[in-house]
Amino acid sequence: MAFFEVKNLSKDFDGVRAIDDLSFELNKGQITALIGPNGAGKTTVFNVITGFLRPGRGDVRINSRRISGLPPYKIARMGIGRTFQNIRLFPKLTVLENLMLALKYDTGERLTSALLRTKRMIREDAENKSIAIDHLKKVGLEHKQDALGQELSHGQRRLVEIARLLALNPQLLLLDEPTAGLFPEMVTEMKRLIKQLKEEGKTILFIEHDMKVVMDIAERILVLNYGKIIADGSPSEIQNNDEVITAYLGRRRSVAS
Amino acid sequence: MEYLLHILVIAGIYIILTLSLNLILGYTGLPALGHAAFSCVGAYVSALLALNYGISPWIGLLIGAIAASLMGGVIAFPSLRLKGDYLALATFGFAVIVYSIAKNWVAVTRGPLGLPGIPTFSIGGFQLSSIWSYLILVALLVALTAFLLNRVANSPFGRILKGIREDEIATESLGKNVNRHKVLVFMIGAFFAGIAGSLYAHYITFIDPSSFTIMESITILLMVVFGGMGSIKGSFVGAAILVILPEMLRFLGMPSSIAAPMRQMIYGLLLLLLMLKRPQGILGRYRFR
Repeated sequence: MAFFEVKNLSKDFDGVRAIDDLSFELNKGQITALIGPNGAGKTTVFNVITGFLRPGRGDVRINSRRISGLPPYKIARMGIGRTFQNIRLFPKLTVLENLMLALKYDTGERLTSALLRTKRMIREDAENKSIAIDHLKKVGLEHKQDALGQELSHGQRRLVEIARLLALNPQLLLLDEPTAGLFPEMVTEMKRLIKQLKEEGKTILFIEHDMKVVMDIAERILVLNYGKIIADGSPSEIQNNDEVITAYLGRRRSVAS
Repeated sequence: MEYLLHILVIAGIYIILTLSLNLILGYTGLPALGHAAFSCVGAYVSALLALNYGISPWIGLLIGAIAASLMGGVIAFPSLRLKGDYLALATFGFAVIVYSIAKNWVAVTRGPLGLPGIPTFSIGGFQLSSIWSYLILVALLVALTAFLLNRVANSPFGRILKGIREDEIATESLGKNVNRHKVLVFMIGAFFAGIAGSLYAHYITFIDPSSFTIMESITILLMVVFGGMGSIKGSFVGAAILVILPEMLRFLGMPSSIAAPMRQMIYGLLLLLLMLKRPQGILGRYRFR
């Protein structure tokens, strides 16, 4: 049984088919890239998997439990976390609060715990604070814990968003263009981070336009075009796939002309 | 002296209203425009229970608050689908409906005639009819409201509310049930607004629909924005200033026919100045969006 599977998934927007009978499986602990030309439906796939869009038809399962049709917060709790293309940090909360919002609480988040300020809530919050700092250390930004989300640089915000995702402790991480807009040193840092997450046993599916990044870290590549998978294979297989080259880079000119 | 204490009692009631709206608007970022409707429910339920069934105002206060809270839960449901301006309009409409019911359901509320002779609070046969004793009661309830809402705001629960204000989608993506928290926050806010309404009814001993118009909701909204969104202290400052300042006009020897419209003009002018010079309110950190 596959760890994660998408089966015959479809999604229409006012008659336009954004995802067309899509099926794929992900292997546990692997880094998979989802690539494709603009408008291919990559982010829509993420939105449907995470429940922000309702699928028209089809099935999504993690650990053979069906998640399609559930609200996003339930899907997140079942082990699927995501980042956003345009980074969604909480601008007026501190970095630490950003992470603590993602952590799981057993009773501390209840209204009654808040009203009675229970010992248990205080203990749980203190424990979560140290967990949050641990996650911040992973991205090397523990010194920024008291800065507001809006005070960080673009690259730092991307890293904090990933640290926050780790605080949710998902098994499957969906990263939407993790290196977009980053300067080269930061791209290297991000690649290192993603590989490290794989070492820790996370499964990663990421959308990426930078082919160098894809070729460097992806073990498998899914190529999406018009909501369909047109190729699925290792980086070297994809690089030499004619259909991909046509869809992605345009038709190769005839050498004779 | 009597007059001064009266102003303080009224300011106290408005502080409770402002604090409770601040939880919805300032902390959670939901633009609710019908807060007077909740205090209207609290006031009428509590007053009618006392007048028709001889139920103690203390119990009426609690039942009124619970009724307002349930009403808050009901109005929260459209808020799950509506955002921003649309939510503001929906809550505005809700406030108009509640006002119309109070005005037109004559068989129960006596309509525009109002309900006179509402009993005051009493402790073991001792009527809290002196203004001093009433001021103490209001002060205690203000302190209790501020204490509880401060606990709610500064807790993991409150952090989720702030998350909803900052970015609903991100909050949901982190496994937090945004809809449930929105409903809860409306219920908590309405509960305390219901307390304020009931306090008002048993203090003035007379209520009519004109105390719960849409202008009243806007005044409370102004107090929140003026004092500062997401600031407990700000709610005290905002409510106190906007209650006390217009009263000063009386000392300028203005006849009440001029003082009343002047009050509205001063509110407008103050708000204009504030938006230009300090859009986050006197003590607030967040701007009105």
